[in-house]
Amino acid sequence: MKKVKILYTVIFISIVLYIIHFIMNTFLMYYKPEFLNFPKTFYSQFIFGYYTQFVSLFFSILTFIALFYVKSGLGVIIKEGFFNAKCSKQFKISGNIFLITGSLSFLWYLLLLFYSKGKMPISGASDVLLIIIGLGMLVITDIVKNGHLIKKENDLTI
Amino acid sequence: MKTIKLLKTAIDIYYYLMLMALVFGVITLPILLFTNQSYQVNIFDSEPIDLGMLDTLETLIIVVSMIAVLGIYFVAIRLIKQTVNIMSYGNYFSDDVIINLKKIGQLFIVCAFGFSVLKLLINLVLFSQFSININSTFMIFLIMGLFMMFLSEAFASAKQMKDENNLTI
Repeated sequence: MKKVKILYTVIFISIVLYIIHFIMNTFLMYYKPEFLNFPKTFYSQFIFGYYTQFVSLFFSILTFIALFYVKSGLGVIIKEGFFNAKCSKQFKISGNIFLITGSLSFLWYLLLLFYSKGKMPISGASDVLLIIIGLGMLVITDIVKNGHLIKKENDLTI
Repeated sequence: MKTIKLLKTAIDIYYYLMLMALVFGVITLPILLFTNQSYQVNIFDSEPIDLGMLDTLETLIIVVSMIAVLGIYFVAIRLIKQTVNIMSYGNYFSDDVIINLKKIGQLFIVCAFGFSVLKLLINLVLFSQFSININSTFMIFLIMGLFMMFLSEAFASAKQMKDENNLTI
């Protein structure tokens, strides 16, 4: 249980950092410093023009939501023990969000690669890792359900 | 069952792509370094670094630490591949899975600090800057490491329950 509590704290810190990141982004959107005031022609070279900068923010929001669900799942584990139906639901939602974020982020990277005619540095490893994390969370959901069933049988026997 | 097969395929692809990249890197790195050509590398979300502009000692420091950290990461991915392979046969709560998950967790935590030290070294060598910061790579590896260690504990508990169940029958 000690490790779950540490993990819960680390995820909580990540969520707080994400919130600070969002606040900073919103602040910079409305009160731009002079060095960030680019002319309109500058944005024309990007794929979605001015709105290109918000694509990564969108992925950050998705990751933030997924982390929020992981935190809730861990909270349930701390209260009710390792195997329960509630946490498997939370993990399933977070797994699906991680999977969607990883896939969309990887597609975005591929789009940029084609758009820049291969001038982008080879990357995308973190996106694949996010897809693996998503799939891993979905597998964990199945295992938690399995464990929940064993626990139920055990409790009934006693 | 379908999800674990998908996960197994994804990890297999990731593992072999990483293996290919490592082999390619090991072969091309010495050739490019000795010919003083531009050699750009980027680790996870960091900006590309040109190793060609460094002198021999600086290159050696960066390359050795990069190989060490990526080596640990590679071992962790290999262990995940083995573990998912065991789990795909339905042996979720076996001793091998529990031990491997614990090891993977520990390796990921080492990676979290390793990548941070690497970034610190790169900043120090390339820009003569000493900066310690919390980046997304550090947080991802720390969370993944702790999660794996937590799973190892949870699986050990499930194994105990399963053994008790089997004894009762």
